[in-house]
Amino acid sequence: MEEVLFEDYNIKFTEQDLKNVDKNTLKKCKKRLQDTLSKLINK
Amino acid sequence: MTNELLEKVEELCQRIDSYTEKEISVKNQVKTDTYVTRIKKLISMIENAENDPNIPKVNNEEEANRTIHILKEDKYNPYSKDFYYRERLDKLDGNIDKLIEELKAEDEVGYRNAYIIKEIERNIDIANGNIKNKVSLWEKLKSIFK
Repeated sequence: MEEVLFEDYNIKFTEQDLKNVDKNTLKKCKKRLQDTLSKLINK
Repeated sequence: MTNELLEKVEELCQRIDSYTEKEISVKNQVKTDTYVTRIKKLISMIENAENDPNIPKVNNEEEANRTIHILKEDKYNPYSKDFYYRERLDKLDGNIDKLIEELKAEDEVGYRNAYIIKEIERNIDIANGNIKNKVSLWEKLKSIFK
C-alpha cells in the first residue's frame, strides 16, 4: 500500500486515509497542498 | 474519516508553511527538497483517489447536516418543529398530503395559500431528494420529530 511519511512532524498518509473520501474533500486537500507546495518552491 | 483527512492535511500544511516562512539561513535545502518530493507524492496519491469511479461526489455527512440545518429552521417545512401548521398536521395524524389538500381547498376560496403550498412541497422535495442516497438522514430526521 502506498504511503508518504513526514517524519519531522510524525504525520503519515496512506491509501487507506484517502479511501471513500468524497471528491470535494479530495479536491480541497489537493488545493491546500498545492498552495503549500507553491510557497515552498518559490521561497 | 473525511474530516480527519482534511484536518491532517491542514496540520501538515500549516507546519510546512511555518518552515517556509523561516529565514533562509535557518532552512536546509535537503529538507526543503524532501518536503517538495513528499508533497508531490501525496498530491499524486490524492489524484489517484480522485480518479476512482466509486467515490462519492459530496461529503454525505456534511450534506446531511446542511439539509437538517435548513429543515429545522423553516416554518413552512413540515419536518421542522417550527412548522407553522404543526397542530393541524398533528390532527391529521401527520398526513402531509391531506394538509396540502386542505390548504389548496382554502386557496380556492381566497386564502392565498399558493406560496405556502409551494414552500411545503419544495421542502418535501428537498427531503426526498436527499433521502434517496442517504439512509442515515432519515434516521436523523425522525429524531427531530420526537
